[in-house]
Amino acid sequence: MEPFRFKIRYSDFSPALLAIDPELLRANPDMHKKAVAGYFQSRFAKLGGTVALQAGEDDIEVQWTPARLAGDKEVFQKALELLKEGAYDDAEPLLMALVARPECDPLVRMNYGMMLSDRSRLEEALAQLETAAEEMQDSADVWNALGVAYQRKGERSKALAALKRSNALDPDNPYTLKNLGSLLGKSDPHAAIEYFKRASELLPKDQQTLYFYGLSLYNAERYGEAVGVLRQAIEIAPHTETADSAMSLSTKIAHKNLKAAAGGKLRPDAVLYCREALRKFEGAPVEVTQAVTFEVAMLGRSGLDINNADKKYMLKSMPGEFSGLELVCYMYVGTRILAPDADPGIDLAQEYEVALELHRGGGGGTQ
Amino acid sequence: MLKAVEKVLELVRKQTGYPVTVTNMPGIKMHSTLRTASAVSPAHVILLNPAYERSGNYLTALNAATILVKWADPQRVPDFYQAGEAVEAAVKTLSGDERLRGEGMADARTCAETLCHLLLQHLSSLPVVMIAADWCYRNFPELEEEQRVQVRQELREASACLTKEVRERTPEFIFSKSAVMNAAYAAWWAALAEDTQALLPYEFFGFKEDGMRLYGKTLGGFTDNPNRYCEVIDSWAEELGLRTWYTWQFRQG
Repeated sequence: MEPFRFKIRYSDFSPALLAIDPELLRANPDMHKKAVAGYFQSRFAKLGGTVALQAGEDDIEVQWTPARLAGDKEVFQKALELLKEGAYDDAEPLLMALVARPECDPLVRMNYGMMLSDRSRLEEALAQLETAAEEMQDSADVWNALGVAYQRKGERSKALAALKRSNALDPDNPYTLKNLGSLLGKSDPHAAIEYFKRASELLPKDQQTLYFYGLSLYNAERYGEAVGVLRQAIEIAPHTETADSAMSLSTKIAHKNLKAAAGGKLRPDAVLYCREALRKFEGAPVEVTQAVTFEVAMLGRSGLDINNADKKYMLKSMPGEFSGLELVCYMYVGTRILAPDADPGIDLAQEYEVALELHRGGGGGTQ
Repeated sequence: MLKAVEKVLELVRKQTGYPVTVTNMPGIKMHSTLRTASAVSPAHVILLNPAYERSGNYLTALNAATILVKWADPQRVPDFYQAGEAVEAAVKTLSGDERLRGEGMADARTCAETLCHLLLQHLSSLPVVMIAADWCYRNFPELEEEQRVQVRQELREASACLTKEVRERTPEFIFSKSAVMNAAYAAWWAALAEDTQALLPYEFFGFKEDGMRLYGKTLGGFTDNPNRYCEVIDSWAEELGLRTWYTWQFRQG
């Protein structure tokens, strides 16, 4: 096959590919040249074939003749396999070589751009994706990828325009629908729900899509529907991080229902538990508060039964038996002490304030 | 948090008897810090710098793994203490170094004390971090991508210490020992992850060979050897001529 031949300026070589300080490289041009040459030498040698390098003053020419791969298509397939395995370091030189071809397939550019975007090298990603979008104006996938990269870079309006263009080209592209839902999640929750709803119909077994659909329903305060969708998400694969997040959100909804059950009024049992927690944490080393709060938070990820008064939980970090609500109060108080600005995941603010007042006043205390 | 990380945290709890708490802590200077448990602080605390959230799973696993190395024998947990006399003598010598007397420098003695303290901190952490990171790499492939990003970032930061500006303001004694330790870290990563360029700066400035020697002393795991924590630090200290700078004290975990 025709060898891959391309030139790259040292100044254009991404510093993210080297474990060396960019300032040190700038101050030592010989080291910089050697590092870039070494990168190509080692990466292409690993892929097989022969590598020839011609180092110039400002740039380096790389010529790679693969041993086994027959043509550009095969090289691209190999790069895609490596990307699927998460072997980005091995895939990148192949993609670099392919995009250097004068007749480079824009699909290659799109995949290279997506890889760079996933690795947070957003300037480089956008350069590839913008070119790919110019060359494939009718591809919903490329506009979707471009939208994601803009979103990651914080360019919201450009992201929205790109994703809407993708959606217009292919209204049933589930990934675009999902990304539009995520982008609009806070600013336009109702539109986000519609996008997620359609995406979850197209991808009924995609746990993340269902989770985000549930989250958007939660944000729109449609709790009943959210619980059903979150349950579906958990059932797909109960032991994943997304399932944990879905479980936490379900617990949060249960907490809200707890308040609603009390008619939005103060829960005296929660006041007492908060007060007990304040007593326990007062004067204790901060690590004790951390340990208890963390352990309850971990326990809560698999769901705490807070509407049952039975004392059926035990902790490793604190002796005794506790009810679900009691533990949630410990976690609430601990979070208020350790990170007052953090969201404890349940609204016990009123109960906490009353408990704090009683605690400070010492009313009815057992000091 | 990835399941792999939860697994490491559970290993720590089983081995040490204490749980691990992991908290995001904006404003800390390091990528992450670790406080190990004691009878009065009954939890290991890992604080993560949110700026390095992308590597949060790896950093949590790494810190937890260093607990496993340090607490290999929970009945005899080693603590590293700076030795007064030897360090004081070094501070005295270094205070007279002209590089600490440059314009804009704070009091030369304070600078010398700080540099000695940082050198010891480097010595007491880096070899153990290498053992723990090596263990993570070999046992948790799902963390590899985060580890690659994080270690490259650390190596980039470490190599920044080789710039002319840093060298001109650091006594040679401190500069060279610190560079040799960083070279050992680069040598480990270059060998493990085929990131061959990592060692280049140290080769360029003549620290590669000494770094390779330290790296050689770090090979070998900890799971069958409860003394590995002290052994590896002592072997580095011998090589660097710092063995009299600290003492060990042991406590029940």
